[in-house]
Amino acid sequence: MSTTGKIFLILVLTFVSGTAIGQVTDPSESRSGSVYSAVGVGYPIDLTSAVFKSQGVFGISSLNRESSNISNPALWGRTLLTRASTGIQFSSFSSKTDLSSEKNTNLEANYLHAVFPLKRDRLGLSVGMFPITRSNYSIVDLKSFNTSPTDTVYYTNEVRSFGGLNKFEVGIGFKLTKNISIGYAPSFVFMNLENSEKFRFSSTSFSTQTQKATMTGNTLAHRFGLAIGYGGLLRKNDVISIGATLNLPFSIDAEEDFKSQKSVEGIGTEVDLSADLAQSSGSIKMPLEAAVGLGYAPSAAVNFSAEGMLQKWGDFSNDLRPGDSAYLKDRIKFGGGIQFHPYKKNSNLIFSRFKYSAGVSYDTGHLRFDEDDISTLWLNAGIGLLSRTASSIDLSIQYGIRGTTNNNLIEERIWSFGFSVNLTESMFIRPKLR
Amino acid sequence: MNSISKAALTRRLAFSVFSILLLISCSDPASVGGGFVEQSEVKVDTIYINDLPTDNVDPYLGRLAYSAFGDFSDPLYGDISSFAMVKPSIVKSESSPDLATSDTFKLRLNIHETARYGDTTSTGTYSIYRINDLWRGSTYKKSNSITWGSEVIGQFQMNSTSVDTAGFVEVPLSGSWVDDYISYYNMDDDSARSEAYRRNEFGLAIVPDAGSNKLVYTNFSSSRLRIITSADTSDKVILDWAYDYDKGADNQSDDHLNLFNTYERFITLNLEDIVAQLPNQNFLRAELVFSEDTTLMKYTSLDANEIRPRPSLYVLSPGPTEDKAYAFAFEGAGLSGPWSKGKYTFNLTALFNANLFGSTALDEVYIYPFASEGLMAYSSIYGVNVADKALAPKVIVYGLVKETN
Repeated sequence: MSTTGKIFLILVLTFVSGTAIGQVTDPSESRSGSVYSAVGVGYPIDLTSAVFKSQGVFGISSLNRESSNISNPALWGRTLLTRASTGIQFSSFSSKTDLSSEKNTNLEANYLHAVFPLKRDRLGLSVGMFPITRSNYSIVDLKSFNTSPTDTVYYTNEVRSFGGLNKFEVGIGFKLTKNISIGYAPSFVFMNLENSEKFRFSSTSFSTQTQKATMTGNTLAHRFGLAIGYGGLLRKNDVISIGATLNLPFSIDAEEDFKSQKSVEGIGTEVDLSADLAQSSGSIKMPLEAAVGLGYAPSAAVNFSAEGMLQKWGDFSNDLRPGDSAYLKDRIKFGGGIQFHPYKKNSNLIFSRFKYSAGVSYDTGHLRFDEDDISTLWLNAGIGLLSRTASSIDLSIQYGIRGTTNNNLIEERIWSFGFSVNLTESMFIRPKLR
Repeated sequence: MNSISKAALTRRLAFSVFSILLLISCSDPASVGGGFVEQSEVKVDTIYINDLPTDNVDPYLGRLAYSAFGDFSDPLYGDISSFAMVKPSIVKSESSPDLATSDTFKLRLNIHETARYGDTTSTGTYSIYRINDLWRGSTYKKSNSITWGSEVIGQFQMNSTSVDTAGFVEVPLSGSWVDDYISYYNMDDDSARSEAYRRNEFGLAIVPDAGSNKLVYTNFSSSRLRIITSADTSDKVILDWAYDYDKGADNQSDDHLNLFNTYERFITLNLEDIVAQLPNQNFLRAELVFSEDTTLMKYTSLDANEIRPRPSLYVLSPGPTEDKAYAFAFEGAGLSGPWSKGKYTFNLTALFNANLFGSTALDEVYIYPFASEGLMAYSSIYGVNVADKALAPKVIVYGLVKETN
């Protein structure tokens, strides 16, 4: 298969699946993630793969060439082979308040990414699609109202939210010198965030009603990356790396429509109730994000990483939900971990065929209610399996403690399992017989 | 040249399957966090109607399922006196023998066994006279008038034992009407008989004698003229029928409104004025509520044995309508507002949605007590001037509004 054919195949798969990520999922699919994703335009999704997630870092300081790196555009310039990767995340949430508790699970796509070495180890082209924020909760609330002093009607409201902001990004990474690389990735940001409610009543005088509000919008965004790597600084064959990324803030001209299913002149009709909205169009200002990381590999078999990120959610505003801004604050996430690659020691033991990762991270969160930050402590671990063709499958497991039960808030215990696949162009090539 | 191996194809397939897996997600809805998530809630709003304009029409009173006769002095709704008109068929088969003056004629009236208006214990006396004027049941309206002669063709009483187990009262007929009927009947030519009977014979009026003190109802479509001869007994169906009534002024105060299912007074409303006052377009239910003045209806000078039927429901018909009397009585198109716990309640949800999101006009709607097949019923509702707003006519809107966080 020609290189053009391979690229075409990967692109087709990427875009077909990417459409799925962009639109998230069908609303009829039941899902429930963190209830904290109800605020703003969803919970921020960290741009990282299972390879680095299991280390508790983003991967912006990684010098690992065994998988496509979606976190730092500068690293695309170091690409040797065409690579494509994607990942999914399965999460289990145990939520509790002072009064009740609940368990939910959620499965969702993370990203699709491909990197093409336009010039090997010098200039790389990246195409990717991934979420920026994600809202995915589903709750059922029981309420009542009176139709007379003695008659009470009970009703349930099933509230669902899904969607968020997504990016389709095309960028380049360029290796300026042996040690320094830079990258730039403009992207098309598009938002589709749907909140639906379904009401069911205890009285036959009231019919079931569904209604949904959908926020849409799009804009352009820009991301920059820097990567620096030096070898042999502290000892022979060691590598030290520094990475940094900068996501510029951007604004979306968003619109919201509000529709409900009603019977009009005997026909079930979706009617537009947008006129009832306090505001149906406005600007959503997304915050600046800056991240920096430090990696050190004393040998080819082991590396350490420590990375941190700042998101200026305190600058976020949404004309369509002006009240949400009061709960948002700047978010800092930092973490560190280790990765061990025993297979690089040419051992034949079965446990030497994997790579192992572990790490810890702390996320101050972007939400604050009264004086309570919705922070998350993550404990991370992972395992990776490499093939002869340098493709790999990575599994990550995370345990997180998020939020608090203070002030009627919710504490979530999260088990999250990540699965990512990294494919290289060499897996499509049949070795020639000599 | 490179080629794609089976293994590579398998990997591609695995990649595609994996891509499809990205679409799949599942879980159960949660309940924790209901107070945390911004959601809509039901809000009840009341829009009071500030004017209840009324109108009247000249009602059709012929060929209804039930026809009233009798009289009753209602202290609330006025003095009511009603008479019925009936014209039996004169169809004769070829094998039927001629009639003779010695034959027996009886009017068998099928009486509604439970519907009464007035004193249920009174023994009313009713007389039957020959009608002097031409009338036709299908077009007979209250504004029409007829007269009858002084000759009593029949007479009967109505009390608790007058009606037989099959629901009939038999009234022997005699006199000139019977003689004339026999002469028409014995005409040999069918068309001549039919034409002469139609042109010259106007039927019978069933008129209450003074002091019957109640109205009763007869079903003329199941009533018969029974003729008993020496050879056999035959029944003639009722060819045409109607009823008419006179009613004195009713007693209506400033804070309530009397409405009649004979349409002397009904409400005309511009519901689009109400639609314009809706808090928002997203409502679950909108109810139009009229509170009945049950105290007035229950205690206004009715003796223990007297009953005043209440309309089982009100009807709301969107207009404009050219022939309202016909539409109200026969077309049956309208929204029902059944009586319950002292209130007539219409569910306006569909109508309001049809107006807001469809092409249904509501600038002229008519509201009137349901005319239950000719059974007369009146009611009183509180008007816009009632001091207690809880009793005032109103639209209750159950809307959905967003909670603000």
